[in-house]
Amino acid sequence: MSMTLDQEKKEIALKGKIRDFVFGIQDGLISTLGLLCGVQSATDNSKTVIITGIAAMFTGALSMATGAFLATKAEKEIFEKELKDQEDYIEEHPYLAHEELLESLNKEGLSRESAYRVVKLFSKQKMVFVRTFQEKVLGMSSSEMSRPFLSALVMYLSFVIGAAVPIIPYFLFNVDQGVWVSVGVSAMTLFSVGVFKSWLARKSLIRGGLEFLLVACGSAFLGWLVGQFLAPEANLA
Amino acid sequence: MIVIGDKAPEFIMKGVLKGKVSEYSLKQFKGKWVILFFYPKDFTFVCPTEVKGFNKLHLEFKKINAEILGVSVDPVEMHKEWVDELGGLDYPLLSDPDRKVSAAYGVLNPKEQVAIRASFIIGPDSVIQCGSAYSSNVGRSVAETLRVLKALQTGRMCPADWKPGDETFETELKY
Repeated sequence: MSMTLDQEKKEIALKGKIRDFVFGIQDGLISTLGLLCGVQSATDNSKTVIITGIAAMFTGALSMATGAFLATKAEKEIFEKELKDQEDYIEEHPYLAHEELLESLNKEGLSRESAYRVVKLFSKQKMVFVRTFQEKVLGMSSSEMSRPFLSALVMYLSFVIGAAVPIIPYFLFNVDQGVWVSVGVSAMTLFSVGVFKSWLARKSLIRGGLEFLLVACGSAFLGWLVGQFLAPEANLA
Repeated sequence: MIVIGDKAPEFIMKGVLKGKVSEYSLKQFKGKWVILFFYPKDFTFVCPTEVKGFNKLHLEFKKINAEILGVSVDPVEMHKEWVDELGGLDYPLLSDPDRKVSAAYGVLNPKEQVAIRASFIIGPDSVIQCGSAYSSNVGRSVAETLRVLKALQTGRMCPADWKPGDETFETELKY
């Protein structure tokens, strides 16, 4: 392995940001697609559709980004509190903490004698023991993984990108054609994102793509349905 | 249920002392006081403080004609490794793998199938003079065991918190 442990950790953390990326793109794309499919069945004016789309894009992006920021921040703060509490626990009840780590390793299949020796060795360096305890016994990974601002940024940008996809066709076509192109391009984009995600997770590419696609179709259909119901009400169809 | 004044249940167990495995029975200690202490498991972080604690005061016990025997349900091979890990012990660790002795002394935890933390002071006539048991998280006080043993050995009435040098009483007070 040519990468150092540090680089590997950073890479894994980045791959974790994929969650925000996929979330952002699919939310941006699907919510905008649904919205536009609804709006277009109630109007002939492509400008209306475009403006609606752009408004939704920026408000949606901001909303998602703030949400991501606050959620990640909350997660980080709670983690840090938990980690501190556990550090105190270990300080006050060292024997119990050692025993708990021993039991946890033993449960995972390490013989008692080996587990004892491992814990004894770890306890020679306080931070090593504390971190191992937190990770093994409590299943808590480092709070460094939570980065609120980065989360928000990724969410914002990916939302905008996702939202742009169904809007752009309306620049190039009129409303009646635009909707089909919009749906088509959106479907292809979603499929590709699904494939990309599967590639990262090393899972079946086609399946990942299709999964995404199915969700998109469902959403577009629902959006269109809503538009159908509202159109007679607004007397615009 | 073991009651103070009962005859201590007889046992034969394999044990290890200074790397050598032999058989230990209660009757081989007739005429001596025996501190029989049970503990849950080898290779734990709470037990060793007591096992080593008894070792520290081992000579004090020997001086007053008392033998220390440690018992757990672990096999004798594990005891060997455990003693090595602890840096050696001057008294034997006995093995009760089929849990019979622990059950006979009423100290077997039925759910975990290990002995609870319990100690017995057995007199030279093989009668149980003192028994105590603790929750798993609390280490015993070896000094306390020694104190109680010395008090028992006076054969006289000792007031609460008696320690060597304090006075004892001749009369058999009822309460």
